[in-house]
Amino acid sequence: MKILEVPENKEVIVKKIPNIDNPFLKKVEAMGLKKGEKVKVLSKVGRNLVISVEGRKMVIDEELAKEIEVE
Amino acid sequence: MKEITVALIGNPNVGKTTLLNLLAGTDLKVGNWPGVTVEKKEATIKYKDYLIHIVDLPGIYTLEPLSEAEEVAINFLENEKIDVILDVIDTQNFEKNFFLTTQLLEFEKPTVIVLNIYDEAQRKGISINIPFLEEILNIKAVKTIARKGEGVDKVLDAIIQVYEKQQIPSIKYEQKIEEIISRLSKLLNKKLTKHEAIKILLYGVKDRDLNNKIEELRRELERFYGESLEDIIKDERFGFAHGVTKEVVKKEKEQKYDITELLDTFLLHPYIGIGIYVFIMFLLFKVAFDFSSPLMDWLDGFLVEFLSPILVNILKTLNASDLIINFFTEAVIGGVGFVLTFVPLIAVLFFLMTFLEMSGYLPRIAVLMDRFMEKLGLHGSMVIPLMLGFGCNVPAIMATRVIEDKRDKFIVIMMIPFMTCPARLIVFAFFASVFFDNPVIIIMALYLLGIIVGLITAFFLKKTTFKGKLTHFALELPPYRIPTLKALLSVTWIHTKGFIYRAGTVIFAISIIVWGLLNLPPNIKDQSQSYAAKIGQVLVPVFEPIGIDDWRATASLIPAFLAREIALSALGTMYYAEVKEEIKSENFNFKEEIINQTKKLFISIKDATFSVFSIKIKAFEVANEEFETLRNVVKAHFTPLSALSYMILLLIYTSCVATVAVMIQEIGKKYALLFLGYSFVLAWSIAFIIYNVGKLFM
Ligand SMILES: Nc1nc2c(ncn2[C@@H]2O[C@H](COP(=O)(O)OP(=O)(O)O)[C@@H](O)[C@H]2O)c(=O)[nH]1
Ligand SMILES: [Mg+2]
Repeated sequence: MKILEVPENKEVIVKKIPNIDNPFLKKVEAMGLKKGEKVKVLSKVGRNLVISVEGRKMVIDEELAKEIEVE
Repeated sequence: MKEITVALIGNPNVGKTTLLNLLAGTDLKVGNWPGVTVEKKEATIKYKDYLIHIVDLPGIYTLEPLSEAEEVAINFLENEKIDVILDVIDTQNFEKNFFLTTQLLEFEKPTVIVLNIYDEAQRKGISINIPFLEEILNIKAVKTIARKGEGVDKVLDAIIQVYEKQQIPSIKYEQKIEEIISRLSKLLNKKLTKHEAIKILLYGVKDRDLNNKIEELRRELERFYGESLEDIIKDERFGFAHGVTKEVVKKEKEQKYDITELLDTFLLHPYIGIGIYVFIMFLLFKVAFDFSSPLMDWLDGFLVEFLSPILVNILKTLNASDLIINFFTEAVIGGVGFVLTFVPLIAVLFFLMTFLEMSGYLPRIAVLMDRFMEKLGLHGSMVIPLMLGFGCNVPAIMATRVIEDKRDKFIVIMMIPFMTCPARLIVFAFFASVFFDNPVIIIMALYLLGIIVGLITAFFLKKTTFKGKLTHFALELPPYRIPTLKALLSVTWIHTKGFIYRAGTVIFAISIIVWGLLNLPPNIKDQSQSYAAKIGQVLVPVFEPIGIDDWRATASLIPAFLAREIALSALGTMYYAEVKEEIKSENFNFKEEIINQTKKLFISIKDATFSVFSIKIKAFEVANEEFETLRNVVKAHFTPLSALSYMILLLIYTSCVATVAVMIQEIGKKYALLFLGYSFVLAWSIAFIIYNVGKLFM
């Protein structure tokens, strides 16, 4: 499942961040959205997802969310 | 004296700048959003036997740069001679911050880790075993609450200690990786830090033959792990961070509720959030206007009823000539003094803007607005510099350095100058209150006009020159924080001081020049024969089609290019020549007037406080009718429509040297000047349309 498809407020675990050459994905990963991390989608605002990753809150857009595999 | 160069580095928004300000007594800009610091700033501290240079760097999450600001930080780390790395961590987010820390340890430089924001961590039941952290990494660690100044004094000692001992951090990766790194060292025949080694493995060296051998090493490692080198390194770093976290971080209790979560339920809500945003902006301007307006009225009265007569009296007893008396009333009171009466508005506006900035709300606005911006092909994070533009266009343009996409950055820079800054606001406040019954509506309309012009410009650029896909959105949302009053007042003071300083220097100088031109050549009977009038008249044909036909008004536009508030001081100087007869200098009872003015001050403070609590914006509604002031004189030379033209001109034309200068720096001379021309043509055209359409109705 992609993180984009996760219903709001359901906790999931990141399975894979693809190793494609997208610096934004790398930034998101360095911000803490990485393999093995528990995440929750808090809400959707426009094209963006507000997500909480243990201790940190961040916003990513749908295009990025399409890349991130969770379970 | 020995010197130490320290790189202050860490994730965005962890308190690096707050820490440096405390250490060095500087007042660099602090804010609660990622991207406040966009360039490196150095401060030097004398401590014990050392001269310690601390370089504040933009925050980064990793050593791979996305934006220009991040590039600055990484270049500094890699290329500058650094003695000590001062790594600041947000303690409540230890593991996430430690990913960067791991990469910093790879530099194998003496390192001090600052465990900042310890207060918030403690509230969440998080504690760090500092001695153990120091032992396993061979570094020094200091816990601090930079916001309150706690623990900060220990940081300098720690820096000196790791420097004197040349304490090199120990960072051990898995055996196979260590083995490959040491074989690489042998191959190149020099000692490599982990950082260098990894970089060479990833990107190779110039020498072809060597590169083949390095390639072999890399292959070997990739075969061993069955992954790409990049992934191996990344996993190893994350793993190291995780390992250290497990060893030293203790979390006692789960947090029950979080104020940030609660606030965001409303503030980030797709619909309610927008409503609240509009309301907050309304409130911001309402409070700024209503609170400052009685105080400005008082200052205005104080200047004309009190200071001027005293000055004139003193000069008369000194037997000063009329010319000197005129100089003081026109250039000093009319020019500088007049501009200074707006200080309350500037101060209150900056206070409120700083509150917003420090609260952590700005990134939320970016998220909310992204929906609308996206429709225009623009990026939500552009909203942050645009909001800053309401404070001052110059730092707003600097703030665009965190925008990842070069084209987006260019586009925002083309929008920012249309955001109404306080210098424009005071011009609007003056003209709107003289000519319109509902000044606040006019002012709001002008703000809106600026925003619309900015959006249209951006939309146009996006559709023609800068086609292309919208870039990604990836932004950290910091927790909400209530700024300390001390921090708020200190930032407000920095801005207000700047304004007062300009009034005392540039504006004063300009006032003298304008006054001189107004009174030259010598022995003119009428000012309409002065040089100033001649200059103004040359420009009249340009501005007559938009209703500005008074030579004083056109002449005031020239010095106004330095800074918009100069338009007011120049007008003040020129029109005060007509006011001055009204200044009562006879029968002036000093004692009585002091009592009188003090009373009025208290009343105005009371009015200011109360007016904030009414729903309607009351400011500027009642003009001061007690005496003939500048307002009445100006009224004789403008019509409401020509006043509107004048305001539109100053709103849209980039009439500010500082802004043009920073544009040149960020986008180059060619585009900056092109933009300047564009803004003038646009300003004139819009004023022309509004003026002529307006004429049909009036
Ligand atoms: N609660 C708390 N907040 C802090 C502390 N240190 C800094 N802050 C706040 O964190 C935010 C970011 O500070 P700043 O110095 O601009 O961070 P920088 O981006 O790392 O330079 C500001 O709102 C500070 O007031 C601290 O020790 N405790
Ligand atoms: Mg900073």
